[in-house]
Amino acid sequence: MNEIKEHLATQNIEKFQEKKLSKKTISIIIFIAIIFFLFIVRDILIPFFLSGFFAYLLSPMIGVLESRGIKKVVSVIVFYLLFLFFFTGSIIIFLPKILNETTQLNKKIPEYVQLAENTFLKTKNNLEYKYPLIKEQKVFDRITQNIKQYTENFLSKIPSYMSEFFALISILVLIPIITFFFLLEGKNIIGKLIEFLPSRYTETTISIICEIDEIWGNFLRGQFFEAITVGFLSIIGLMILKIDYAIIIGLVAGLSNMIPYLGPVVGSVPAILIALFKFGSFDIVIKVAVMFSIVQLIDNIFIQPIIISKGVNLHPVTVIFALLAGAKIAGVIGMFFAVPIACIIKNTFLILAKKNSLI
Amino acid sequence: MMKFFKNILMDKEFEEKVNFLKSISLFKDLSRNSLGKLLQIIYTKTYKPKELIFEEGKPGVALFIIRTGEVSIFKKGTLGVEKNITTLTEGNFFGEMSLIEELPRSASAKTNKESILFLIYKVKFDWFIEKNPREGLKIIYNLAAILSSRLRETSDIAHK
Repeated sequence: MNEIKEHLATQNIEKFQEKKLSKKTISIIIFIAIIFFLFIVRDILIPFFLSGFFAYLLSPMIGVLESRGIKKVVSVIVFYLLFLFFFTGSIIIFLPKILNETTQLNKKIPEYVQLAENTFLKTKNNLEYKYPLIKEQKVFDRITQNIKQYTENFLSKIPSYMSEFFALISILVLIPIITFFFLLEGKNIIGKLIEFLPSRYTETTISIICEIDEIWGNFLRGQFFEAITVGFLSIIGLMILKIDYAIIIGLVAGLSNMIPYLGPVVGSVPAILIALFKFGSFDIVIKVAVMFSIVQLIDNIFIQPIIISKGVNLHPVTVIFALLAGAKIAGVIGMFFAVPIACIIKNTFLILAKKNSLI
Repeated sequence: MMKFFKNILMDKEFEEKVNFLKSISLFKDLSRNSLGKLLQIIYTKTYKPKELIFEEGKPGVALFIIRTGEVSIFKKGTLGVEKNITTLTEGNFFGEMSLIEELPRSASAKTNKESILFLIYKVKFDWFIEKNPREGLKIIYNLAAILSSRLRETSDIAHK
């Protein structure tokens, strides 16, 4: 009798374990299927990513009104209209200046190219005269060929950039709509997940989602604030040094500053080149470099301590690896999102490692 | 006219929730605005009767406040028999230690009837303190006072 009971108990345990295993397998399959689906439709994800970025940017301001008892939908509409007003206002103010600078830059490009070619030839002749080995090895010829090849390759891609421009317009129409719904439903998504999940998963799963939510929010808002500050300071600095196209270069410097380590260097290159073309002396190069160093110093001493959150705590080697991986997967956009994604992966693993018994 | 605009602009549920939070000792001395900020990090979950909320020994990462319903806090004996420690009702809270550190739960919790609970996650609370240190300090002070009074009660029982 006892043997039968034992046998039945063992069978029950086996059945229970099989059921648990099959549930886990189904969850893993669903997860992989979702990732695969997102990978297939990755091209259309950009407006959703950007809308998420704007939603994170605006959500604390909406929280201010909400914490005073104002309805969510009213708070969203008020801040949305305010944001659109400032956004459109700044476009109206800055767009003519940016367009003007772009037109001037377009006109000047052949002149700059000619100047660059002359300087290059002068340097080539000087160096080849001083060091004949350079001429023998055809070092400069090879450099010229590489530059030509790169430029031709870039120019051949211009038609595809133009088609992407039209895709960009459709994105610009989509973003405000998606952002509106993200702002309206953002917190509700977590709320609905809490209601939907079985209680034994509620604590851990939602804790991970909350942590991801905080990391993303603080990181994106911080990056945006830092980019604006660096861009604004760079524009002022460039105007003081009387460098042409200060607004465009400042914008590039601000945006590229969002990419750790590499960004500040990349941002200063256009300014150095334009200064070199305009003034033709290395003194101005040093002045521009000093100016960008001061901007970086202000950023490091005053801005970063305010915005860098405890969630964004990665080893420099990890940051470099994440940047390279981001660049490989999704180009420049990949580099922008590499650090927050690396933070999320790190924190998720830390939470899971701490609570492995719950999952 | 004012009433009409108030109805359109103001959230009725907000007032109810703020008044409810005001009655909880953990949030004593917090202004209406501070409670409004706190509401931003609170989530709500409805639990069915006899549903396990958390289990003893599992790491805790959230504080639970009973909005409606009834919850039992219990420990399992060596033979698997549940020993009820206390029964909590509307306005009571449990799992408060998880706001300070993520230690394993010292007891299990389950609902006696359908209950609506407010959840405050440690990760959200940490950010709340960082952004609102004044309010955070008041809550931590209240929490310390509650823990100290519970410790005194336990010592008195042990002494007797």
